[in-house]
Amino acid sequence: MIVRNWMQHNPTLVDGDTLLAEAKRILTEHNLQALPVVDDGRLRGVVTRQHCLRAAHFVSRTQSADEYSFFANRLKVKDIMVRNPATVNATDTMEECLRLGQELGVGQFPVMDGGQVVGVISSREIFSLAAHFLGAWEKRCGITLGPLEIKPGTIGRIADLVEGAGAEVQAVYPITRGEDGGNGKPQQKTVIVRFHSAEMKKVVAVLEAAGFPVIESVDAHCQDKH
Amino acid sequence: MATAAKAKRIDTASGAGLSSAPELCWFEEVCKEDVALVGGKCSSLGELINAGVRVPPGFALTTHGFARFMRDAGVSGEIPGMLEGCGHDDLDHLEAASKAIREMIEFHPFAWELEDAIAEYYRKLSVRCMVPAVPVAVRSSATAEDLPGASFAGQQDTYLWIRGVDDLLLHARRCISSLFTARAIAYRIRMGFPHEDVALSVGFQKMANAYTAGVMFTCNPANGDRSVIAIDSNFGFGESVVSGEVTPDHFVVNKITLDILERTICNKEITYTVDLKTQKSVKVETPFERQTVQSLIDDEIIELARMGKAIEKHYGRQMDIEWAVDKDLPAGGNIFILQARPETVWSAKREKESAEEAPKATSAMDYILSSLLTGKKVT
Repeated sequence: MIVRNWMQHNPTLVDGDTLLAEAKRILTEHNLQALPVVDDGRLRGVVTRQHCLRAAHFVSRTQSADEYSFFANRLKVKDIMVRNPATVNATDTMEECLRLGQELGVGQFPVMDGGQVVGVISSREIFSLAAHFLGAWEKRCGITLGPLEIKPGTIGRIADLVEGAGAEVQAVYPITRGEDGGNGKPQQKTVIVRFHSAEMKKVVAVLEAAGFPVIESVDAHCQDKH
Repeated sequence: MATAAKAKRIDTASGAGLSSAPELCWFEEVCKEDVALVGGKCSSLGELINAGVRVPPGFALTTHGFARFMRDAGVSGEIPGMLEGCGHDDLDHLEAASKAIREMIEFHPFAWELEDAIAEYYRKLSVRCMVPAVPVAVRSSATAEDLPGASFAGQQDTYLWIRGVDDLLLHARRCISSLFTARAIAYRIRMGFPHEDVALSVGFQKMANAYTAGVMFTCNPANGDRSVIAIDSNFGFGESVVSGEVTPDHFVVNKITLDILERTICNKEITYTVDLKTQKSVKVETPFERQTVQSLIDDEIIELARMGKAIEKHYGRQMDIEWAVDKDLPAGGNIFILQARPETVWSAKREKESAEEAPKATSAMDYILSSLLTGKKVT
């Protein structure tokens, strides 16, 4: 999972002298979250949809025709953009990109390759990543187990039990929620299981009989009916 | 919180030498002891903000930032060469050299890193003020140690209603280049002060959209009477009053009872204001019917006098204060202090007198009481 394979290629770029009104039009028309600002081939900043909307809000609350005119005709991208924005490299992994976003509280990154902007990662790309991961188009059945301690063999055992109940396992993701166990206790995880099966109830019964606590279950076929 | 910010700043400043010294800082991060870092004007603004006085927010390019620009621009290196053989009385030669140096500075862009740093402070200021590309006043702030003799330092340079990063950077450079007027160069040559050692800070302060502005003395500038506050005002920005281009309205307020003792309404022919179409500061003729109208209402006069008293008390001496009444804000929160410096003429005189005379009066009340005791009339 390399950033290059998930990013939006050939992103729309603007330069610092672009009017903010123009940048706002581009963001709206193409439904983008952020535009990298590039002057002379060098990344100088990022102008986000949020910054544009905030500026527009500040202007509209003045109720002043002169402020409207300044906003529409004079205000430039370089007056609003964030300078020295956080970036990721095209060769970084998506995990690194996600970690950086969580750390900085940032929702979009220009993607750099050899000093050039070659792409953008924004909420749209992150949505796409999550959708691919969870097979959002496939209508899988789902079960969440936990909290439990993952030991060697635990994941394999869960897969065996589910397949033993006549289901076809698509994915097993152990995830950590909240704090670490602490005090030397082993870390507790929840395990998300995704599979295709016509007999959801049977799968749940088998897992519970084997001592795995089932905290969520979603039957793809029942959903279809309602 | 101000102290926390300050402690943080000192931490960074005391790091590994010059490179870690701040190139930019907010006004509230400095106080009156920081003249060497941000010059007299900005440090006094920081002092006022931390004393709880209503001052428009802003930030400063510090003397380190200034030094960095001069290094990056290669200006420091070229100046000695350009001034080669200039005598302090060789006016033509000096004028030519000054022009060349000032052009070099004004047209030399900031290095990317410094430009980004300034622009980022400006963006944050705009967000704080809730105005995109907020209009600012760009002023040079001289460090007195390096620049004795206030008049030549070029600190009269003030650019009003500057909007947008490009204009901001241009006017910052104009402030810097004001160090190299022919007069300033001549002065330094005569005093043997090396040109490389001059230092300057540039302040960027949110522009108060002044309906009325002017100056205030916490004594009577005519006779040094400390029991009163004297206020001069005119419509528009305070520049018309400061520069002496109009005869302003003059008010005298009793410092204790806050009664308005004197009220002189003058014929005020011009106003400095902003042309909102072009977003530029302009000088216009005041409409005839407004010229003889009192430019400051009584409530504002009293509120100003009250603020003047608080500032005098904070500094423990008489002050010379610039102020403005913002037209976009409601009454009660619309009077801003733009500058406060110690009043010099009467303070110096009194210090001399008090050394000979009675015990030194530090507060206005002491002065009034001691005057009463010695049988002097106070208004």
